[in-house]
Amino acid sequence: MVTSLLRVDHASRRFGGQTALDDVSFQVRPGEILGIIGRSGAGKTTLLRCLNGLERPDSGRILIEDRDITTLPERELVQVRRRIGLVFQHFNLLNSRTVAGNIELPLQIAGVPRDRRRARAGELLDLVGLAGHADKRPSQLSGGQKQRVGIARALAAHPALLLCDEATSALDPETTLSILDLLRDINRRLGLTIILITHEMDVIRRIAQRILVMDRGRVVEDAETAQVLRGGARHDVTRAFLHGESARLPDTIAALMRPAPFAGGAPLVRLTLDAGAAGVPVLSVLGRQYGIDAAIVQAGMADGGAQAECVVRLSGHDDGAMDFLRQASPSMEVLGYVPADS
Amino acid sequence: MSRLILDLIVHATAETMEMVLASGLIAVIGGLPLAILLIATAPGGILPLPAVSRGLGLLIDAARAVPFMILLVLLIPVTRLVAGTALGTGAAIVPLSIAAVPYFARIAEVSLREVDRNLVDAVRAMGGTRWMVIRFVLLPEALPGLISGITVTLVTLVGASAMAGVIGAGGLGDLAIRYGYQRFNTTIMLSVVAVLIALVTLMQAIGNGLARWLR
Repeated sequence: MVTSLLRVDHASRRFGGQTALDDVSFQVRPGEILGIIGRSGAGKTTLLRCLNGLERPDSGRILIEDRDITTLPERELVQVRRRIGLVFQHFNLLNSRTVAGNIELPLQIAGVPRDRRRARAGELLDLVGLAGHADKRPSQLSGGQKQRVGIARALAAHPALLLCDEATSALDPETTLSILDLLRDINRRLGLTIILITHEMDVIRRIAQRILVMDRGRVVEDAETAQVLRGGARHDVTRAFLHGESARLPDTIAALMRPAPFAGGAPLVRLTLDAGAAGVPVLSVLGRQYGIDAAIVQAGMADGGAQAECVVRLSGHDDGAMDFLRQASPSMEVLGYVPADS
Repeated sequence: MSRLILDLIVHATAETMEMVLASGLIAVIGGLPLAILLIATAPGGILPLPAVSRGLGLLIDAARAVPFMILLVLLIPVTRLVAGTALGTGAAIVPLSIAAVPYFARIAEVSLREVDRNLVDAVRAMGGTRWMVIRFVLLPEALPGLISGITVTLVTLVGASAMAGVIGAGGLGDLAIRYGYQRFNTTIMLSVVAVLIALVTLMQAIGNGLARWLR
């Protein structure tokens, strides 16, 4: 019984004086969607190349289905690679082949006979919603369609693990959503384990059950996504990703904001409320019970609509009111103070 | 134009075509593997052996540095060894091929180098062997460029084959020199030039069409 599909144990990799991976350890359970986020240069790409054996860590182990790929000879590594489906940022489709020909490629590599390859390509085209496009060339497709072909190709050889490298970074927001929905659908229907490597918090927020935050080659956060979104982030980099994502304050207000309280200043507070638990009319209670008015500066949705996020300016400061807000929104944060009449 | 002259031109055209196509074929058979070897063994290639890549590159450039006229004469002993004679159309194919192989190798190398590296990495990551990378990625993706390269090589060979007239190779160049120049037969001279232009234009058109169709 394999309890962890992938296990990385104290993996480190240096390039010259540069540390790309610094003692990285984590596990992936079968059937989960894990999101790995980090800024460029955080070590995501090196980690990915180590996971499919294109690169070997200097030290540490990487176990895929209980086989340590860091010590496998090239010949056996090839077998392990065929267990991993890869989805790329720039699709990497062959223009010399048709759509079906591209999907068949991993099967051709695995030595599957032609008629079975054809049949499988047809199945996969149906799965990704591209039935009828089999004989087109990749150059005739839109970006989203190309990525669907990329996903179909990655699934062709029945992989144990789907590795998506910035799979939506080259797509527009609407297409990104449809590709993420497709990935979640595949995860549910096939029970396929998916690792998403990305720099966009929105991708993780939308489909990843677990988040791994990388910074300068280290894993600085490894937690359930829901927990992080509820304010459970332990590391500054994670919080930076969470906030970098929320809409920026209007310039007029940002210019007036000061970090500390001052006479005639009103606190500016960011609240994240569960949209499902709308039972408590937070702002009304604030006014009635604590006598504090809240002016909405900004509002929007988060976690794909599961949460409402808003920034409000309070008419005054009150410890009881703050406690109440913290209870309603555990990730409540005082952004700063602005003149009360702004 | 007399019947005799027409016969001469038709015959010479056939000889030229024989030389160009035979040596062109050998250029591809010999040059393409060399180009693949150059790309594969280059730093960052699928089988990085920089010493091999550099040595091979040096050898190819050395062969290309020798002007064809000189190569022609220099290779006479080799030609005699391979073809049994140093004279005639068949014999001319030997030096033409030896000149064309490194020429095409360099041209093919450029086309192969232009194939997106990420595609190579993708197939490697899917568990493809080096041979599969060559067969599924490098060759098919570079094919339009390779076809253009073959066209350029054939056109160059038309010019080179004319020089081979020096060793009695026959063909259009030989005809133009002996009849057109040495015997002041302007009709033959102009006819040969016209045939050469038609030949090269036709080759280029076929090559372009093929490359476009494949793209």
